Amino acid sequence: MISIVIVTLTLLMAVVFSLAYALNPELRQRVEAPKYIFLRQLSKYDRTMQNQQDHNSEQQ
Amino acid sequence: MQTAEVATSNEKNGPTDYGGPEIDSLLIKAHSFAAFATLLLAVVFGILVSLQFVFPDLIAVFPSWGRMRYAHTQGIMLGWLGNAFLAFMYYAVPVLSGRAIGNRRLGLWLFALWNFAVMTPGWILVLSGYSQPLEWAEFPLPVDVLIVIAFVMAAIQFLSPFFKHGFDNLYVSSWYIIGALVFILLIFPMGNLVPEFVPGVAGAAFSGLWIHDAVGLFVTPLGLAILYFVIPANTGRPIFSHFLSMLGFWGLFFIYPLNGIHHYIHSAIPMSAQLIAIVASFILGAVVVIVVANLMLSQRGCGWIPKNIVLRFASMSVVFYVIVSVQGSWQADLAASRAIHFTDYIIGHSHLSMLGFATFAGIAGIVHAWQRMPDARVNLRALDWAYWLLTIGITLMVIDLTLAGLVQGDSWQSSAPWLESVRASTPYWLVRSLSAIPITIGFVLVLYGLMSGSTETESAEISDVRRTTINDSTADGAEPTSTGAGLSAALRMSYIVAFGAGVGFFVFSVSLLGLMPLQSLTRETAALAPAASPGLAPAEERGRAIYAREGCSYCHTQQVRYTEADIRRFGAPSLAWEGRLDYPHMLGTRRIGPDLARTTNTRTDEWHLVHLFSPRSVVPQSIMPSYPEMFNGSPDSPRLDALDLVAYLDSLGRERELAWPEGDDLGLSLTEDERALESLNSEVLNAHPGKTRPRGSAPALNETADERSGQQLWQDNCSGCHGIEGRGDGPAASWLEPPPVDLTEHRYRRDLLADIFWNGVYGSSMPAWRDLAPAQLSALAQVVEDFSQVETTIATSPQLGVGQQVYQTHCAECHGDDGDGNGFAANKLPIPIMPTDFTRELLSEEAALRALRQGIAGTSMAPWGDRLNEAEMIASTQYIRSLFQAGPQVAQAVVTSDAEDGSSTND
Repeated sequence: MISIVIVTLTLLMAVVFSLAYALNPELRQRVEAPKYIFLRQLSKYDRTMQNQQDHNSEQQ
Repeated sequence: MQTAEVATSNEKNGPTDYGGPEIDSLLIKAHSFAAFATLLLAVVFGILVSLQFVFPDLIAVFPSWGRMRYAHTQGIMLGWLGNAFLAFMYYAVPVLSGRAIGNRRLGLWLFALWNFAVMTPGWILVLSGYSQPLEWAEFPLPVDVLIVIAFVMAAIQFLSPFFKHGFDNLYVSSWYIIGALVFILLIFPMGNLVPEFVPGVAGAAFSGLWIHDAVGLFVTPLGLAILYFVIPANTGRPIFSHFLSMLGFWGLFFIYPLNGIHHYIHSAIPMSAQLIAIVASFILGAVVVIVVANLMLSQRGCGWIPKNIVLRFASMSVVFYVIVSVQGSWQADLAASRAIHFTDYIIGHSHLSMLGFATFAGIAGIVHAWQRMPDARVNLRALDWAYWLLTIGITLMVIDLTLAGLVQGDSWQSSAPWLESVRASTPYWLVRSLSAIPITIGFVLVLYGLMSGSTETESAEISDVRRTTINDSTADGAEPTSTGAGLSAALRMSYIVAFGAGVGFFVFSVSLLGLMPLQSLTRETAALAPAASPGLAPAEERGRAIYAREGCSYCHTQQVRYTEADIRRFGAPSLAWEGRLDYPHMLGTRRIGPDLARTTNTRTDEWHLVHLFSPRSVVPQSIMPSYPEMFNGSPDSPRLDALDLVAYLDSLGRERELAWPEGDDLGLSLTEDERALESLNSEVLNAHPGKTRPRGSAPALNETADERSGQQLWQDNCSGCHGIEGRGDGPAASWLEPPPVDLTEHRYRRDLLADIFWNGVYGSSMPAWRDLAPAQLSALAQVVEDFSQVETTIATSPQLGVGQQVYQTHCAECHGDDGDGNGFAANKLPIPIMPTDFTRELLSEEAALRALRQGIAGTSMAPWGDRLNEAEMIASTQYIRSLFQAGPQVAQAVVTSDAEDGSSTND
């Protein structure tokens, strides 16, 4: 009995989230935003580190 | 282009333009080196442990096998992966949160605590014999307390940047890190502490939760955090779908906690709880497919073997992850569990998880971070070699262990003797040990790769990524546009709700798979357990502690499962009440040796002592470690530890056996639980093939037998005691009383041999051999008969009358009037070994005389040399020899000798 409840709830949640994601473009963009922000953060960090290394090399 | 709202959000939460100093390269390097140092040590422990399987006596000079196994598993999970994850988090969390790590001093304390107060003392303690006999929780409780403190410190250190940042726009890696740090604080105390207070199989339910949660809610989330981080960082493209990644994240955190009990399928844990775990395991498989599909799609265009070294490790980690997850779901299936549970298949699975998926992710994370450390050196060539060696080594190991597991499972399903599975596994164990060579070299090369080489090449690689990043993020153009404030608030709320639900689901899982089974098992125990229980004597309690400290439960389970094969091999399945005094439980999850739940009254103490001192002397094919440190040089001189351990072994299954069968009959009317009824209805309580029984029925042996097979069987099973040539001079002979029979001096009738093989010699160390097929027993009987040098020609002489008189006066009360060993005193002897049946066993004259003169040590046969004169003894031996009634296999000749004219006739 509990097993059936777990399976049903899991599927239901997955369907609800998937439908919301598919039908609401605003939500879609919002949910996907972190992957772009993350990449920019990373790129910014890499540039900072590279600049720092370049600066150190020039000083040497 | 960033949206206005996201930008606003970033501004609100502070600057994201951190610099190098905010990423603490000192702590990253310190944890990375500690990770590799502990990894290499843990691998050394693992190699020593694996060698024991191939060369059982090779590592007798090291601490016992079980202790090193403890050190191996804790070293991999806490030492290697713990440090690797910490190193990665020191790099990733500032990037992910845009905030510096909490506190450097706290970081230094955490490093010191983790490595010098957890790992070092933890290892020293388990190697010295202070441990907790719980899988993946082997460090003793005082160390556990320090681990919890360390986790709290880690939570403060790494969660605070996220709290400062806020939960808007958190990338999936952040969620995994947050989830792991929160859940480890919940699951670690549960897994390490609760089984100390909840006994037996109910405690095992909590252990199962911990075993699975340690992997699923600590190792996996941090491994996935790394993969989700390094894959886009090295492809220069965002992951395929953040939605799918979050679906996977919540799916994993919801479903993982419900899997735990699948480690104890077919046990006494209520079937309803087992079914939940099975269903959850299959759902988890589906969730993992989502996660893996997303990760693979995120690597699209990189090829199966990416050029970028970090991507290559990450990519292989993903491959390992999908395989190990599919394995995990399948293993939970009832039929699969019947076939492969307790075998090396599971060991292969756990190595694939910890050394494959998690380790490759850990290396990817460390190398990625390392490449970005100021002045860090990275040797790509060494890392390239390391990748191939590790991939080949781990693949070889896992395939090998998987095959070994299938072979073992197949053997256990059959009626083949237990040692067949050991013998069949030996080549696989050798390959497993050999697979450690590329793995170890691979790990050394990763470390070398981080300590050598120049920074120039690596910078070029990073620059490539950076260029791709900039280009791709422009090309994708899928930047989020402005979202309404209402949706933003709703999302924020949904995160909080989801997080609360995640923790709630954990509580739900503990209730469902821990507390509810506990309640049900407590009820069943109250109904079925004997009202008066002797419990364990002090010596047995001490023996239990020794059993725990030496890791015996890593090779011997203490649970007869509710499966046909288990019932046939070991007897009635274990009922919950049988472990009601086990704090903590020692059910075990692996069988290299047989199950020990029904050990009581199966072997003699003497056999156990010899087996502990020198296992191969009594079981030539055994790979069990020897424990000479428990003896003063000989099994004849055991120390207290050995006696206590044997006392404990003798207690296993005793309570139920004492009550058998009346106790089980009564139980049938006291429970309606289907599983309990199945156990109570078992025909045989202890089906151990070696259990000795009083003489009784036995299968008929064939007249003809395969000679070569008989000799092999003799060597494998009998030579340890009786010697290769059957002279009773095997390696164990001098330690056993009564000594093993010199078969050259005895001749047995086939039906007696069948009886001895089938029932053993009750009261002696001669076990039964019920796991051998009748054809094998026939082959053995042929070997025994061939050893005999006893003349079947029996002289009849005038002295027989004297012999008969002596026999009737002194011997018949034990050996019976007819010499059938069934005299009126036979069942009342102080040592319960039945007197010799002279009608079916013919002794040589020398052996019979020696027994008369000296008695037989370890039996009730006393010396008669001081009570009978030489003539009487000779006459007696002649008389008892004349009682022999040869069966059809022995052509008996009776020679009637006439002392006066010397003529003789053969009858």
